This record gives sequence, structure tokens and C-alpha cells, in this order.
Amino acid sequence: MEPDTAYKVFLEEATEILQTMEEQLLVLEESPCDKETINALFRGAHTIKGSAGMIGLTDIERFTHKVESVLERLRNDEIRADSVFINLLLRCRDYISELVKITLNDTKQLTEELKVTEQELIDGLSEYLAEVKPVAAPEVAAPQVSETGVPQTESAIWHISLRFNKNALRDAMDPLSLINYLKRVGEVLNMTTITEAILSLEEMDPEECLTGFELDLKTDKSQKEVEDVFEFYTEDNDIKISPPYCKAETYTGLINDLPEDTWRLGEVLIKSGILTTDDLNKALRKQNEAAGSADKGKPFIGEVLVDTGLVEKEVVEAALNKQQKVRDTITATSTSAASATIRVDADKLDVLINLVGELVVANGGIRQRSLVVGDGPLMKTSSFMTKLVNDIRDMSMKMRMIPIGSSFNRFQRLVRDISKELGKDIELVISGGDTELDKTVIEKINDPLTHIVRNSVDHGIETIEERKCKGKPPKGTIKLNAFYEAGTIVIEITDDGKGLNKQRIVEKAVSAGLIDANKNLSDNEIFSLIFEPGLSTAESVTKLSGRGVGMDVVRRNIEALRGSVFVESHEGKGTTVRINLPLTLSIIDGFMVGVGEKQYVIPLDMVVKCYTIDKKSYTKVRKKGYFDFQGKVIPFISMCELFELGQSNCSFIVIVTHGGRKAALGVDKLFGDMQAVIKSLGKLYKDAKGFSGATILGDGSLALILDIQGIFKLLESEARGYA
Amino acid sequence: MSLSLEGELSVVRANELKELFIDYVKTAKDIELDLSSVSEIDTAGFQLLVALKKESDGMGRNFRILSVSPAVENLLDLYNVKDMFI
Repeated sequence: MEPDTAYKVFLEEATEILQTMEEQLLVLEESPCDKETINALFRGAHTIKGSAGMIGLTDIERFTHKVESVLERLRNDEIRADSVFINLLLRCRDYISELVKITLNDTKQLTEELKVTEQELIDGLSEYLAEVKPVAAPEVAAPQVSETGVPQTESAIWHISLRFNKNALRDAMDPLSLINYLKRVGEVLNMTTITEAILSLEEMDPEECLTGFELDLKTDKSQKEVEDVFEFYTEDNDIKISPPYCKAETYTGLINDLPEDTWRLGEVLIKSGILTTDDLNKALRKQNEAAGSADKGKPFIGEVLVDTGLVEKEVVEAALNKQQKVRDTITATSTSAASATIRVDADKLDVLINLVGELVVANGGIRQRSLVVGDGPLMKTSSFMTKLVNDIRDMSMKMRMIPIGSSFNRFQRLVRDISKELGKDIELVISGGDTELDKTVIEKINDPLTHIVRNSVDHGIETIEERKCKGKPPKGTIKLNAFYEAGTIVIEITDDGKGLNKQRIVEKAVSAGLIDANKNLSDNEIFSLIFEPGLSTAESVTKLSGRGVGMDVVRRNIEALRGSVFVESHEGKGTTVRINLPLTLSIIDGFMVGVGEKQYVIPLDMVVKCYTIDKKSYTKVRKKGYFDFQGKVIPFISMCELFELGQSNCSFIVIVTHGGRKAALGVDKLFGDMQAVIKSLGKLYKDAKGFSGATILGDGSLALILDIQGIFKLLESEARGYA
Repeated sequence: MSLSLEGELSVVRANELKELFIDYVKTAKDIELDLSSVSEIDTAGFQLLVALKKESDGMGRNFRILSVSPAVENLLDLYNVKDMFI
């Protein structure tokens, strides 16, 4: 391999691993005993070290080796992943990432600054390497102490999960004897026998071992000694021993691993020995009573358990969290199993998409021509080809679609770091991460998203003290959510912070000369003012804001993607920023209409319904300026008048929708759906309102694509003009 | 009509006991077991009891264990499942 290619491959691989490592470290911060994550982290560091060594990047190899050694100690339970440790490892990750970046530079020399960082980090790491005393379990010390009669070490409670190989009974390995033996090792607490696998007499194979156990073992033995108990059972049996210092994680890790993971939370907690059946029954009764008295529906069993004081809130939360993770893992594994992937250069993909675009246009031409010619077999072949071309178009578009989740996950680190810096406690909740979006859109939306999230952390969420004073939970929440809506994707950033101060915004806008002081504005109009240039409502310029990038840039970037952004806010309660984006930038399904002599394309997803309309009703609608759509009054606009195309004489009405609003457009002709390859309008037309692009029709003529969102804006400004 | 089991309630006789239980469920109105003469019980035996109990619960029949031998008592204790049967 050419050295350059080798570097490139390494760069790609390492960047990916480092990104995953960051996510894993953040997971580890939440559940420090998650063995799987620890192992994955170790493997990540190991791979980077190995690859770096292979292509002679000694700086990276040497440094990553240290990180790997520390992770190995973590893996062996010799050290613990507390927040200091996670901090250090996150910094090490950043440093490796920095090193990886400079590998592509010609000099490949470390700057002085980096050298200082490296020394600091190495010092930090050495502390973990130097420590000889094992932290987790005194493996050697414990038995010696008990033998000499010196007061024994404090006994700890281990949670043990036992699931046996189906052949265990036939092989004369009865769990009975194991449980019996456990009684000699320590005190067995909260034992639950799991019999869910026994279905019915008819179906069961009575010689199979279908019984499992969840139990807590209280013992003063060391980890090794406890593990040794199961020495003869480990093969083929599923035995999980959760160390004593991970109380909450134990239960939740277990829920993760239990084969019977569909149980309801209450049952899961019983199996983990936190609850007794009696407790759960009591809670269930309460749940039913509450459901009877309130119309809110049944409260979650978790809430009831906490309310009745039966379970610590943290445990329930952790359990729920893990349940979610179980689901996530299941989806993740199913996708990874189904798809063996190959890497393709993004440029090559772009070329392909462009070619497909041309193909779509060319095919449109053939199809139209075949209709004109009227040759039966030709039309048949042409319509078959159209179907194939559409399939190719869809497939090639899909190749660029990636889930937005990985982009969202990057914000975990951002939120964590900034909130620590500002002394705030903030949790970032992500949902809809599997929603897919064009890669280019994701790349371009990253900056605006970063800005909005940063704003939420910095200006939105209050400090811990402020929140306590207001009677809010000290921990603030920021939610990132993505979902599909009418052919667009919606990204929502919600915080439960202090909300926007309307009065302040108005004052600022008045003093900046943006609005008239006497004008009465709706909430919506006030909030959209924050997107005006030069209007920052931050009371003080902090480290994070005041860098000259404001919400105006955010809006500009989003609009450049043919998207839109709205703000909703309630003072004292929080703010939601809603971004609407098109799924893709290059090809859309369009609906072609005729206005006067011209043809226009409306994105098909935004078309709700079409009506034919006679002259008399049209005159009536036009006079009123609105249309009665399924009992709702929506604004009406004649395209002829809007584009000043002379005498308006519409015979069709097209109902369009965008961002929850609807409008009726009057047009002269309907041509039906077609494929539109979007070409940008170029600089000359950048101020043309109402169009988002153009497309070339099959016969080579040009049709403009209507920007429905822009038309809504035009309608709005007109309405304001009348008022 | 109660069913009295004698001797081993274990994996060795598991298949034979399964057939016996299936027949018993078919004929009996209520499920009543006398386990006072069970000399030995293992996990396979326990599983059969669970299956029988589930079966009778599913059919809405009463399930009762009339008496138990020390061996059975010991297992029910050890597996912490007395609530389930008695």
C-alpha cells in the first residue's frame, strides 16, 4: 500500500474508533461497571495502537499504549472508573484525536503546546499505572486475614444470575447442588427462582434444565473465591456475577442481560431482589386506585414504586434507562448483523447521484416522447424503464442516508463539558436517533445544532441554585429529538430552562430599530426576532457566547438547506427550537401544475389534496381570500396573481401544507406527479421569493420549483400588510 | 382424586412423570398432590411440578399440595418457592 493511502485508511479508522470511544466513556460515566463498554474501550485503544504501529506512527503508538495499559487495569477491576478517571481518559482521547489529525501534515512534528499536554496526560495516566493496591477486591489479602483470625473484612453482597445450559440436568449438573453449595459460601438473600421458561406440560422436555435463579450472596470472600465457586459451571452455562460496589448498575446490567427482558419493570425488580412480591402487589393496587381516581391514565409502575417509597428513584431510573438500552442494542445488533458494509468515497457517490439525476431527466424525455408518438410497445417499455429508473433513484438516494444518531451523540460530550464549566447539572436526552437523513444535510446541520444546544446550556438552563429556588429539579434537561413529518425531517431541541424573556427581546428589537415600539406582536413574531442579526438577548457575554455567531447565522444556514426554524418558549418553563429540513437536497417527487403558459413543480409531500372548481365558486373564493378546507378556514392565493401572470382564471385548487400550516393555491392546470432533479437558481435569482430551485423537464424546458415555505411567508407578510 | 407420588421425582423418571401428569390433568377436577412419599426430588422434578401448576392455573382448576416429604420440603425451601405451591 502507498504510504499516503495507508495514512488515509488509518485516519478514517481511527476517527471512527475515537468517536465511539468518546461515546463509550460517557456511557461508562453513567455505569462504571459496564463490562462490555470497558472491553470495547480497551479494544478500541488496542486497535489504534496496533494500526499506528504498523504504519510507523510512533508518537500515537507510544501514547495509546499507555492508555491501553490503564484500560487493561480497569478491565481487570484493579482500578475504578470514577469521574476523575473519565475526565482524564476523555482528554487522552482528544489528544490522540489531535495526534491523528496531524499525521496528515507534512511535518508530523508535535508543537510545544501538545508536548506539554502529553506530559500532563502521561503523568495522569501513570498514577493509575503505579497504584499497586487492587481497589475492587482484595484478592490475596482476604483469605489470609480470615485464616489468621484477625477481624474479617466486611462482607459484601454479590448479585448472581444463573441460567443453565439445557443439558445441565442430563449431564448430572443439577442447580440444586450449586445452590446448596452457595449456602456454604455465604448467606443467600433475595433468592428468586425463574420458571418463565417452563411453558406447558405438553411442550416441555422434562429432561431439559429450564430453571434459572437470581440471588444475592452475602459473603466476605474475595471476587476470585466467589468466581471459583462457579468454576465447574461456567462452561455453557450463563452465569453472571455482579460485584458488590455497583449496586444500581448491577440490577440494570442484569435487566440488560436477562433472557426474559420483556418483563414489566416491577417484575424485573423483583427478580433482581430489590422488591418482594408483596411490595409489588401493594404498588400495583395503588396504581389501579390512582388510575380509577385520575383521568390521566395509569401512572407508570416505576413512579408508583418510587412514590410508595419502595424503591430508590435512582434504581428505577437506571432500570428504565437500561431497558431502553436493551432495545437500542437489539436494534443495533439486528442492523449490524444484516448489513455487511463497504466504504465508498463520498465524492464517487456524489457523481453517481448526479448521473442518476441526469438519467431521471433523460427518462422523462423518453416517456413524454413515447406518449406523443403513441407507439404501444414503446410506451410499455418506457413505463417499465421509468419504474427501474425510479428504483435506481431511490436506492442511490438511500445510500447517502445515514441515521442522525451519531451526530446527536456528539452533543453528549458538548453538554457534559460546558455544563461542568458553568457549574450546571444537565442531562441530554436523545430520541429519534435512527431517523435517517441525507449525509450532506447532516453535515451542514451540525453547526446550527451546536449553536442551539450551546445556547440552551448557556442561556436556557439555570444554575443549580436558581433551579432550586424556583422549585425545579436541580438537574436540567435538554432533549434532542428527530422525526419525520410530511416528507421533511423535524429536529427539536427542547430545554426546561428559564425560557425567553419576551419583554427583553422587544426592548432590544426596538432599540435596534427592528420594530416599532407601539406595535403589538404575537408571541410567534416576538420569538422569531431572535433570528434577526444583532439581537442577542444574553445578559452578559460569556466564554461561550458572544463569538459573533448568532441565531441569524443559524437561520441562514438552515434556510440554505431549504429548511426552516421556529421557536416556542414559555417563560420559566423552557424553550423549544424546531427545525424543519428536507430529507434530501437533490431529487424530489414533484407535482406539476400549470399557471398561465408556465409550469411549476410543488414538492409532492407538501400536497394534501386537489379540487376542481367552477368559475362561480372561484370568484367567490377569490373575493373572500380564504378557502373552506374540511371545515377549517385556510388562506387562498391565486398563483396567477401571485406571479402577476395576467388574468386570473383558476380552475383547480391545490391544498399545500408545511410546518403544520395549510394554504389553498389556485392554479390553471394539473399535470400530475413527476420526478424533479433540483438545480439551484444561482446567484442572479437568489432574491426571488417563492421558488426554491428549478428543474429541467423531459422536453428540455425549465420549470420552477415552488418554495411552499416561502409562499407561506409571503402570505404572512401580506396579511400583516393588510392589518 | 388426589395423586400420590412415590419414590424418586427426578430427571431419571422425568418423561414417565410427564405422561402421568398429562393424564392426571385430563381426568382430575382439582389437582391435589400427595408428596409425602417422595424420597428424592431434583430440579427436573421441581420443573414438572411448576408445569403442572401452570397447567392447572391455566385451566382454572385448584392446585394443592396436600403433604410433602422432607426431601420436597427441603427443595421448596432452598428454591424459595413455597409461596408458589403452598
